[in-house]
Amino acid sequence: MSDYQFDDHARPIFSRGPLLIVKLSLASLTAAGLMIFAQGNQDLDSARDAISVALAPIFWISDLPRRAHDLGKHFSTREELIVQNDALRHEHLRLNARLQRLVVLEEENRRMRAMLHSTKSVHQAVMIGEIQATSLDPYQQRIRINRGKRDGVFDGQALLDAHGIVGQIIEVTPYSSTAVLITDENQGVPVQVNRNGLRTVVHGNGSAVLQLPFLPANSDIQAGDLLVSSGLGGKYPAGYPVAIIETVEHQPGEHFLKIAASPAARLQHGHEVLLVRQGVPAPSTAQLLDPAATPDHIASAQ
Amino acid sequence: MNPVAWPSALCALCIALILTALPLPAFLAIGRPALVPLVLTYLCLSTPSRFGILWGFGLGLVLDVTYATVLGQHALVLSLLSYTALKLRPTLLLFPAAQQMIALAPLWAAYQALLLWLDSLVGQSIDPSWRWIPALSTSLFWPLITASFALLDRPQHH
Repeated sequence: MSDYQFDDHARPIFSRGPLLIVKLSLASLTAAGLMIFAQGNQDLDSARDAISVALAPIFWISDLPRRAHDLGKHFSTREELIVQNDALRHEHLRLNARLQRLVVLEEENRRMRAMLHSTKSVHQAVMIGEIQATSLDPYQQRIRINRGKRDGVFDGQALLDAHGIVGQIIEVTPYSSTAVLITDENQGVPVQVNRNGLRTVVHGNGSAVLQLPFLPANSDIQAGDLLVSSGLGGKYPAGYPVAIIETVEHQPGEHFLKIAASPAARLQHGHEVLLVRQGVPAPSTAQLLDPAATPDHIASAQ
Repeated sequence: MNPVAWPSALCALCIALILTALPLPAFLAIGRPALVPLVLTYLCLSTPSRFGILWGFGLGLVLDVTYATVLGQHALVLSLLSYTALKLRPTLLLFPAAQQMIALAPLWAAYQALLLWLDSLVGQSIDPSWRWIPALSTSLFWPLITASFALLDRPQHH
């Protein structure tokens, strides 16, 4: 090895030798310091933001194939559109009918909450975000969204889709943000069984199946039960579907049930997610049906 | 292995980054080679006067943001990688690409292992069962990288 160290045609290795190890120690120490400092610390966010803004063109280019794929969908046939339109019209009618029923229920709920002196509001405003990329690291269930700090996204914000809870934001940069899905190994969502209110926590395990590891063998839970978020822990809003129980197994001698559930949200489908905003009043159901109506108006009409 | 000019080096790094951020189906993403470290290693071996530990550190920060890992994790590993590449350079330059590929394989395995270890250290969940695949695919991409750079370096006929 030592024989070849001299024929380095760029420059002699001796002049680099001691410098290299000094450089390496400096770089490693800085990196290690960064890692320790960055753990649970928000001070480095601006540095992250700067790098991420500089990388925006790279992300944009790497997103092109997906967009080209989406473009293909723009040229769907007229028949397809008519069928789809019909289906959507029917869906709209059905939902509107349910919405009318909801006006009464919502008002009733408001009155009952008033009687109980509870201030929790039923509605939460949402913002629509588009999924830009999914899990860069196949071992982490993550998605990147095209909404960032500029749009009012914040760390810990909950993500929904049309069917249930998707995950939460873990990193925000000015123009985009990263969210972790509920199926990630590090994620747990506090839930309750919709049928009987039984509280527990749903855990992801990196696959498409969720687990409920903490239910004792005599718990009242069965396949097909809907789990809704309980809102405990303050991260996820209460009352949204999280998962549906697939299998409940009890192995003799074990204290806990072995329960598998599938996420209610369609995590692998669709491009849009809803970001739940906090502190922004949302239109009530009555306003959705008739924009001129206000809660007082409805109340006085009764 | 001739020195690489600035424009081609930066282009190669950009392409590697784009391919790193490219969304792939899950079964392909598991085997995605670590392209940025590959290109960085090539640049360290071919152009040590320009590319070294500082570039490793900077590109590591960029990868940290791309992967949304803790700032400094990839920076640490890539600094070590570029240092190792510079140290092994006199020996590696004597080998043809195929032998270089075999000689560098332990480096990619060490790269993955170090990332895995740091992942667990900072509290990321780890599932090591398929992590050896990137080490293998990264090794297999080495001849491709050397061939591409050799193609760039070809004398131009007019």
